[in-house]
Amino acid sequence: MEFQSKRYKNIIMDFLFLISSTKNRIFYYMEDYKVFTGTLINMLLTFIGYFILWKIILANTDMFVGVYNTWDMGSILMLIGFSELAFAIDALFTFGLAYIPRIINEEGLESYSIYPISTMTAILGKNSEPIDGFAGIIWSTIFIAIAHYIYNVPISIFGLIIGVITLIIGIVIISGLYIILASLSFKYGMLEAPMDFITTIYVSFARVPHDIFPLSIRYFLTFILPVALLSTYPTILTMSLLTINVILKLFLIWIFILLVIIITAYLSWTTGKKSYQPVGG
Amino acid sequence: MFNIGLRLGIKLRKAYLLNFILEIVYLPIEFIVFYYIYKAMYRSSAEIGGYVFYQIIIYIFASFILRRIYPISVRAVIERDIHDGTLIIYLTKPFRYVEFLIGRYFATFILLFPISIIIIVLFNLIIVQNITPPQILALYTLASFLGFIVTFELYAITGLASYWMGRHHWLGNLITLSTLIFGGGYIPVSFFPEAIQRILIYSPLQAVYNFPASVISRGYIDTFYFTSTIFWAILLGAIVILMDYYGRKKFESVGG
Repeated sequence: MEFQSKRYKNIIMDFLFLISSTKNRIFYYMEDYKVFTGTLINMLLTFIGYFILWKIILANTDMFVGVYNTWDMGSILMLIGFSELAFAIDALFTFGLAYIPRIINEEGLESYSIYPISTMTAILGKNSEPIDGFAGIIWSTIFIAIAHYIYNVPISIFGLIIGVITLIIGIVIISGLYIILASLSFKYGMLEAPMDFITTIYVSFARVPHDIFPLSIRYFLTFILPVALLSTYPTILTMSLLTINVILKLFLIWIFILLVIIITAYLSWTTGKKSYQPVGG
Repeated sequence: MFNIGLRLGIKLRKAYLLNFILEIVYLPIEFIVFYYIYKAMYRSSAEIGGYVFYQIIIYIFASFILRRIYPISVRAVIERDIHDGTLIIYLTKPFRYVEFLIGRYFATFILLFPISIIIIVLFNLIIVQNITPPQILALYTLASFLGFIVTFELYAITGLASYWMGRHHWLGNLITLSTLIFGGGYIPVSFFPEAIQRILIYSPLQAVYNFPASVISRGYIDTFYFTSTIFWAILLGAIVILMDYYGRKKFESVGG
């Protein structure tokens, strides 16, 4: 019983640390308004850029056909909105994962172990990008709203809810893969290349409907490195383009993958941390 | 000045060989994405904007390789040197800072560009079963060199602007997006509506990707593109020299 209450206390402390470090980083950025406005302008420019790019692509073809959907400007906008939402959630909570190899080998893990919370929470809290995160949530909501109200893309509430759940499952699986790869740095030194590989795939494929790719790439993006869960599936689920049977089958597989990844990530991180030596990994 | 930068650039490239190999390894990932986007586009028509499918693939391949070769990071380097005060290291030396930088980045061009030529020639030979004429290769080299100069100047101007504007990532991002979207990095200029095309062909942006990639992909040679690119290279070069000259007067070694 005492063990359980201590555990809950730890989780609450971890959560409070995340909130307070996010708040501190927001104030840090707000002090320099140029950085803050620069971030907002940067994000707006990127969105405008993707909007124009897709506008030209779609203007030059009669039909942009995928397996699940014939993509038009509205559904593409919704897809970009969901992908930006995924990037925003990543910026808020999991951005620090990419720094782990550097932290282990250069900065020193001990500077994150001094807090009365788990080391992983300290890494995630201290390396979050809240301005990017909040700006991303605002822009992605605007994009999804434009898709629905201006381009008349249908939105089902049930589909939207399971779409967001799918997106979160995707982020957790990809984060788990990051942790597994980052834990290799405990044994092999600074190993950033495999994580960079995931990031490149993540950034390159997330803003494109994955159903235009051949079956092998679609499988890869759905079950192995599930980038499709960050944009394409939330979009087609929100638009109610899948039958309930297909949704159930997909969710069963995704939850199985999620459990395997969580257990593997937990084991590789705790095992790696035990072998850590403060002098440099 | 230029030679010193060039020698240093070659040494740095050799020292960070693994980075270069990884850059090449990641290239196919982005390429696959655009390959299938264009494949989906070409399902409804055999020719778009004067390009057939295999030509657009060579176009995208060439523009992606040029992105790895072009001195895109020069903006961040100049901004860092100005604001962290490291510029003082160069100002105390008997050479011009901008010339040193162009030499340093030109090393990347010299080392990587021949590889891009080999890949494109092999692609043409094996996939399209077509021999690339040597005059097209020569023109592509010249167009890419001019593209390199214009890119350097565009990014150097945004970097030097930090003498007056402070740190400003958004200006660099604006140039990157403009060159990728309006300069032909992702889509050729001929895919745009005619009214926009007419504006774009007079801008320096077309010199960056559209001009070299259209030369190598469909042998498209237009003397207007050459004269326009040379005009922009000279004009932007003059702006860089002026900004460097006047900006340096504002520089304080404690942090700009």
